[in-house]
Amino acid sequence: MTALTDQLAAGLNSPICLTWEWTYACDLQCVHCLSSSGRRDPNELSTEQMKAVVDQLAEMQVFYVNIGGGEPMLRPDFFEIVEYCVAKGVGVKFSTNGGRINAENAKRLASMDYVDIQISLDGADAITNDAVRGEGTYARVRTAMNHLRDAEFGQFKLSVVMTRENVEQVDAYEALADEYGAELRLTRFRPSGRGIDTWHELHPTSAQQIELYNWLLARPHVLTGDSFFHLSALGEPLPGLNLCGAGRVVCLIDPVGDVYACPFVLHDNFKAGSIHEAGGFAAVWRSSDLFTELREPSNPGACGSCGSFDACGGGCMATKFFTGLPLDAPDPECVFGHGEEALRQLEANGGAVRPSVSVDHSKPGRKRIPVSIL
Amino acid sequence: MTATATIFDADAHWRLHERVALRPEPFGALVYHYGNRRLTFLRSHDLVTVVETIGDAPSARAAFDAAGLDPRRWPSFEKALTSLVAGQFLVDDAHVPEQIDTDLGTDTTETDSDSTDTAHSTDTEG
Repeated sequence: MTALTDQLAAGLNSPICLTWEWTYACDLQCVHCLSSSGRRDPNELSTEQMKAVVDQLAEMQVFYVNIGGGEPMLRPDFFEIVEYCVAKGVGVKFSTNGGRINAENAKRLASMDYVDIQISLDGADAITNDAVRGEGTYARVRTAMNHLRDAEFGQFKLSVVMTRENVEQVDAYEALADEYGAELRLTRFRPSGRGIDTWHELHPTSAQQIELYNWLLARPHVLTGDSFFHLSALGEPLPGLNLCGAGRVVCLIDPVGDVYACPFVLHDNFKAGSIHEAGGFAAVWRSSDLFTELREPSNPGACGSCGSFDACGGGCMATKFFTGLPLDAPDPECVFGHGEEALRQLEANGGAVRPSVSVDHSKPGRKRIPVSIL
Repeated sequence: MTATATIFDADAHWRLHERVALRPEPFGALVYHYGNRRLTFLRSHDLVTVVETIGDAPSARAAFDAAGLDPRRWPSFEKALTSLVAGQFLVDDAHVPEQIDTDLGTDTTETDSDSTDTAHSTDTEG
């Protein structure tokens, strides 16, 4: 780690990257959904509660928030809260499945300042995409992209979660993004939410990961959310901070106001508190026991003897946790295979006990979607 | 980034871009540009002082002097300010305040993140 990452790991007055999920409601049931979204939670924050959170974020000088869900545009007050954020100087970047981006909404979004859009797509063709996101979604997202282009929104981001089935389409994603004047964003698939069930079959193979690393190294303009820092152990670090930011520079506020260490750990073990507590979000961020603990220097554990620990920091906490590995184990996708070995040993010793999410809003009867391997 | 060479003149008057915000942090400050969505780190409290006061000083060197910086340290500060000029965090008198800028494409948007993408760290003395 560099001096800068040491300083960041010790914690900041306010997060750099705050993800705020606005609803668990979603009209899709993607097989890798990190938040197991589907149904709205009856305790989701009211419009007034949402605005109170924005007020506090503005006071903490959180420069921008990453809005997600669920599908945030399904909130009836979506535009009202976006406009409130912008008026308070809190920039908005929201992730959407595109279903609500019609011509009218695209124009409205294009007229707003400080609003960035990240539109999700998981395949360069309908067969690949729809296997993950649901039938008809490829056509639908292309329609949404067309609306954004027609409304002259400007540069949106096209966001793809890398899986075993789609990682070899990276050139096609780049071409598609170029066609729309969009930025390409590729992120790592973590075994979170419904991904707990699908990750083992769908995460990229080690050979694919090495190819992806080389592809990304040659394209520093492709955004990654700094999510592939485990690959930096291969040599030259990928752009970004290359550290696990959970509770240090990153956190998540979920739709009911619970605060978690990162968007990929919706589990009681990583719940730091709630915005409903005295002092609100600022108190949770600055002094919760969990975040204080996460800001202590991390124990390299099983990675202590590896010369690359400084490069990857032992990898992603969420990925370890939801595959049943201890937090000081190697990342399951460790480029040297130490994680795969650790998972094998876990199996040999009676099987991995994989935690399940503490919050699941999947629609009834659709929880276990069989993954069709193409 | 545009290919134009960054020209930083330490004798000129500089000020923060009107769409730049600065947030104090234990290590110094975080600086965010709402226009080009760049984020950068000021990793010394002296640099924070210089950046905060540079608009009121007739020149960058005058700001260094007012901040009580030993002249032997000035080159490293000039280097840090040069990178802030390159990221359009600092502008000179030729800069005309922008109207609302909905074109996000001026530069690489470097604050993507579900975790921690960041922009350049404005590395000055630790």
